[in-house]
Amino acid sequence: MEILANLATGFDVALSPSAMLYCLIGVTLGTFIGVLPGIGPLAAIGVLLPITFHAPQTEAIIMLAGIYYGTMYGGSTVAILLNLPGTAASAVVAIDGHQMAKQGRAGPALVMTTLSSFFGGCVAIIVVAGFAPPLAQFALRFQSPEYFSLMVMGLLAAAVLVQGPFLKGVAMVLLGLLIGTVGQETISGLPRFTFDTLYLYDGLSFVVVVIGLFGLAEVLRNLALGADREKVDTRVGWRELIPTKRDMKDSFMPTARGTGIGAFLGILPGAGPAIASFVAYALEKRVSRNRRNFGKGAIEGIAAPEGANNAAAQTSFIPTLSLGIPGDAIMAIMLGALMIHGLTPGPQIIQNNPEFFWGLIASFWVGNLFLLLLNLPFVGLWIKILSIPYSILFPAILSFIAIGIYSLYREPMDIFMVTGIGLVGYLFIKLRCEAAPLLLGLILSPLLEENLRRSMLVSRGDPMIFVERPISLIFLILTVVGVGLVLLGSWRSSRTPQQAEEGSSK
Amino acid sequence: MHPDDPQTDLLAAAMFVVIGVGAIWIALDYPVGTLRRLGPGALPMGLGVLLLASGLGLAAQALLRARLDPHWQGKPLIRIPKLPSIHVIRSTVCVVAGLGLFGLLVRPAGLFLATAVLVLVSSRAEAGTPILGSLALAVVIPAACVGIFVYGIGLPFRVWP
Repeated sequence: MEILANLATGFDVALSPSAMLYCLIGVTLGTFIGVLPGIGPLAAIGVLLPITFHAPQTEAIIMLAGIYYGTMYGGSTVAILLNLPGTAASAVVAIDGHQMAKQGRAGPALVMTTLSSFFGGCVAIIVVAGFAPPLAQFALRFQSPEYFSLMVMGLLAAAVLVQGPFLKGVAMVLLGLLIGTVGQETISGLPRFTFDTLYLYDGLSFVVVVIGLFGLAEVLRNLALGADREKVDTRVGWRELIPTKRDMKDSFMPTARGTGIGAFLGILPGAGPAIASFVAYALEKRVSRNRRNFGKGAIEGIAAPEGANNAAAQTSFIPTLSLGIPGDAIMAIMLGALMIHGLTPGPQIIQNNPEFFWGLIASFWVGNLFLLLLNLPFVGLWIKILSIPYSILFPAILSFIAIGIYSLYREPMDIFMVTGIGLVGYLFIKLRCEAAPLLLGLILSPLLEENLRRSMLVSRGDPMIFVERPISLIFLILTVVGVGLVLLGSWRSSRTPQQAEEGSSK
Repeated sequence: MHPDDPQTDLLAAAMFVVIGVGAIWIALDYPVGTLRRLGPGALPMGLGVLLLASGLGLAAQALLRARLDPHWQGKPLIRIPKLPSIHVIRSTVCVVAGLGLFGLLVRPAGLFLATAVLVLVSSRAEAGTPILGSLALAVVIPAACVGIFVYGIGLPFRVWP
């Protein structure tokens, strides 16, 4: 009954008419800003945050939830339609989503992102309502060795995600980790890989790297293709906008699995939606009956990470609010915004501020519901973007990229940097090195270093600490088993070259 | 082309090896510390070594695969990358120059002119676009951007010089 009481507290807050109105405004604005190419959820939330300061506290929180969903959905929309992801999580969704859009199935892809999100949110809210207090206790048992092993698992899961040799994925993860070390080191203050420039002291901005490697590189690739550019099928009627029965059936189990992974990983401090998307996609790619089509427009490749992303977003409020450790950059912004609205994160927050905590959880669900209702009429409109001739679209995309990047820190160097990274991204495409694993390495690099260092300090320099602690050992075993299965699979497919040939012919 | 074709993998492996060696070379200057107290050089050094190893592993794997696959028998595995075509050079140069000019101009000349120059230069990437079309875009897109970002969202940009 505690579950119901908790949820009732939350929905009491979230379902008042004025709260719902603010939520609706938040979702609508969020979608429209988030869908601008090159802006991305991170910048979009940043842009819209000041609006919430004019609202009363409760309304402000629920409006924030609306903005969160709106921008995330807008971000997924551009990721799918134009292959311009603004976050690591939407980079995962773009892998198959953009392929679907090229095949004229952007409608089902977009609808499925909201349906899977909604499903993930619905399940996660029950998990949170029922188990938040004990889960917060469980997460407290995690110490640096557990985090380190968890991150190793997440990183190798991202490496598995790539088409082609596993080692290529590993190398891209390592490269991401390496890029993450650029800048002043936290403890000694030593500048690393800064090449004596002041600009690199703060490290490379995540958004600059994402937009360069994905957005700009994609523009360069499309231009280089010239007349050979893939024709996008945009003549879609209303009927093709909606997922077919088969799409729904194919997506159900992946969504459920993704939701489970997301709900679990979200509880762990520092893991959050980004890792959850990667792990869910990697797992789905292993277990799905349709795994051969992953990377070529499989709807399962959207359903699983979207469910995971959203479930993790819900459950990650437990560590974000109780420990003050946000799971990713977007959660960090949300935490900052909540603190502005008068919330102090701490282990007792659930007991001391029940209206706040449950209201937030419930408003996330309401925001998701509004998104679902608003989504259908908009899908057709978004798809129209694809019918704009590329010669008009790409200068507009470049302008959005330039303005979006410049609006972040007003630093013209960022524009030069994004250009350089775009060229590198184009080289990666030419060398068939997928950039998504690099992103996860980049995000996790500082956390990985900190937890590695702390573990080694605790164990007095004995690396055995990672296998002596049971939870850490479980993560490492899962990692080894997972990698083993992948290597076995690739060894098998290398013995039957015809099969590989079949898979590659388009 | 084959997705796992050994030639591409060898080039990618070469890139990873070069970056790995470069990282190790630079990280040599950073204190590694002890196992108990890892210094700022420990992670970069470790990552450099692992990257080098993955690069070498990838190369070995590619060579092995080429040896097993009859398709690659007797064919050169080291491919010198072809020079990009005029079309590719043109589009890349236009995009890079457009963004570069935006970066140079946005502070002194304001958002409108910087965006206009970016659109004008980058839209020349496609040989088929008429110059009048570029000029029209260079008016419409900046106007739309200023409308959305400055007057719509309210980003405090300077629009004019």
